[in-house]
Amino acid sequence: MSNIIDISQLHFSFKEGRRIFAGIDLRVKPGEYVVITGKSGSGKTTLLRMIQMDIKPDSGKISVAGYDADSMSGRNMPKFRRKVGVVYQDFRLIKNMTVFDNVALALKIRGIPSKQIKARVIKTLFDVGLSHAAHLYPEEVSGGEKQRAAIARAIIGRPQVLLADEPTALLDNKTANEIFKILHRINVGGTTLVLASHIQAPFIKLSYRVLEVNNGNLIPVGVNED
Amino acid sequence: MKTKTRRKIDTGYTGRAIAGCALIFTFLILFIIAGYNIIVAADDFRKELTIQVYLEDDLDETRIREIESSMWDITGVSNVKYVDKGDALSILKEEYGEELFTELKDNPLPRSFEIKMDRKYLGWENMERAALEIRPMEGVTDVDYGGDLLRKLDLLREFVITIGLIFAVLISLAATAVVSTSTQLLYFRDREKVEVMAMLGATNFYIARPLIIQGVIVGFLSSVVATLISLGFYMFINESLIGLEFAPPHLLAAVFLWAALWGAYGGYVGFLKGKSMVSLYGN
Repeated sequence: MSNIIDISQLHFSFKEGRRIFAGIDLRVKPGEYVVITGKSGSGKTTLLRMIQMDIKPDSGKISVAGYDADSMSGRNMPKFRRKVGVVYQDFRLIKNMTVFDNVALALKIRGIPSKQIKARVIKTLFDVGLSHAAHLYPEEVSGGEKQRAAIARAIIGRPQVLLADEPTALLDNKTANEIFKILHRINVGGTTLVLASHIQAPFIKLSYRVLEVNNGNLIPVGVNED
Repeated sequence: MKTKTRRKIDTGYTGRAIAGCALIFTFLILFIIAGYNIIVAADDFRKELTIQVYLEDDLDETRIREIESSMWDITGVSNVKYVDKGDALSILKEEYGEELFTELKDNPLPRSFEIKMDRKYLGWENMERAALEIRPMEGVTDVDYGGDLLRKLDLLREFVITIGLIFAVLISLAATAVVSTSTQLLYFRDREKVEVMAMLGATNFYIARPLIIQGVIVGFLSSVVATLISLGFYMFINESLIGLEFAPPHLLAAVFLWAALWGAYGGYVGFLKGKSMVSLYGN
C-alpha cells in the first residue's frame, strides 16, 4: 500500500538561520495514527504546516494524499485542503457564527446543498457529542466543546488525513482525554491521523507510533517504529 | 449586540466608500452633462447646415432639371430644393427687412439649389465629398457648405468624446481605489474567517465573491447618489442657463453599469491586496 504522507530528506531553517529539520524522512500509511512530540519550539507545528503545504521546505520532497508540494499550484490548493482536515489548539472557530454554522461552513464552501448540509452537520455534531450546543456561539461553550466543534468541522468533509496541532493544550486533563477518545474513534473509522503534542507518555502507552522532533531529526519513540 | 456592532462597522466602511465614490462619480456625471450639451448643440447646429449650389444665370430649365437629377444621385443627399432668384430675394428680405432692398432695381442674386444631407451623412468628410462631386457640373458656379465650420464641429465632437472617455477611466480608477481600500479593510477585519475558509479548502472565488458583490453595490449606489447630487446641481444652475439638458437616461444607465463594473473590479483588487496580508497561520 502506498504512503498517504511521504516526506523525504526534508530540510528547513527559519529566516534568522535557526535550523528546524536536517533531512528528516516520514512515511505514513493510510489509516495510521502518528504522534509527533517534542519540546516547545522544536518544529512540531512547522512539520504539520509543511504537511498542510502552508509553508515550503528549503529542500526535500513532500507528498500528501497524492499531491506533491513541488508541483502544487494555487488552483489545486483548495482541492488538496479538502483532503486534509486540521484542528488547532486555539480552535479557530468563527466568533459570530453558531457551532452549527461553523461546522456547516466546511460543506458550504464545497457547494453542497443546504438540506444535505443540515443532515450531515447534525450527524457529525452527534458523533462528537455536541448536539446540544449546535445553536450556541463559540463564546457560549466550554473549551472542550469548542475543540469538539473544531474537530467536527475538520472531519465533516471526510478528509483522508486529519492533522491535530496540540488539540488539548488549552484543556484540562479530563476534557483532553475526551478529545483523545474522539480522535481515536476518527482514526478507527479509517482517517489517517497526525497529532502534534508536547507530551508523549499517554500515546506510548496506547501503542501509537510516536516520533520526537529533536535537534532537527525525527526520532522514533516507543515500540512501533520500523 | 455583537452582530449589531458588526453591522455598524460594515455600514461604516460601506457608507464611507459610497460617499467617496459618489463624490468622484459626481464629477463624471457633471462632465457628461457638459459634454452632452456641447454635442447636442453642435449636432443641432449641424442639422441646419445645407450645401448651397449656385447656378449660372443663363441656364435653361432642362439643364437645371438635369443638375437637380444628378444631385439626387449623390450618396447621402436627402433633399434638393430649387431656389430661384425671386425666392432668394424674398428670403433675404425676410431676414434683413424690406427697407434694405428698396433701392435695388435688378435682382443680383443667383439661382441656386439648397441640398440637405441625411442625418448620418452630416459629417465634414461627406459634405465635402458631395460638394466636390457637384462643383465640376456644367452650369454650377459655386458650392458652399461651411467646410471650415463643419470641420471644427467634428473636431469638437471628437475632442469631447475622447476627453470624456479618458476622464471616465481616470475617475473610475479613483473610485476603484476607494472601493478596493474599503474591501481590503473588510477583508482584514474578517481575516480570521478568511483564514478558516482557506484552511477548509475554499476557492479564491468563494472568498472573493462577497467582496466583489459589495464592490458592485458600492459602485452602483454611489453612481445613483452622484446622479442625485448632479441633478440638484443641474436644477440650481439651470435657473440661469435655460435650455441646458440633463444627461439622458441611456447615458446614466451606462454610468450605473460602468460604476458597478469598476466597483466589482475594486472589490477583487481589495481581495487580492487583503489576501497578500493574510496567511493560514496569521503570520
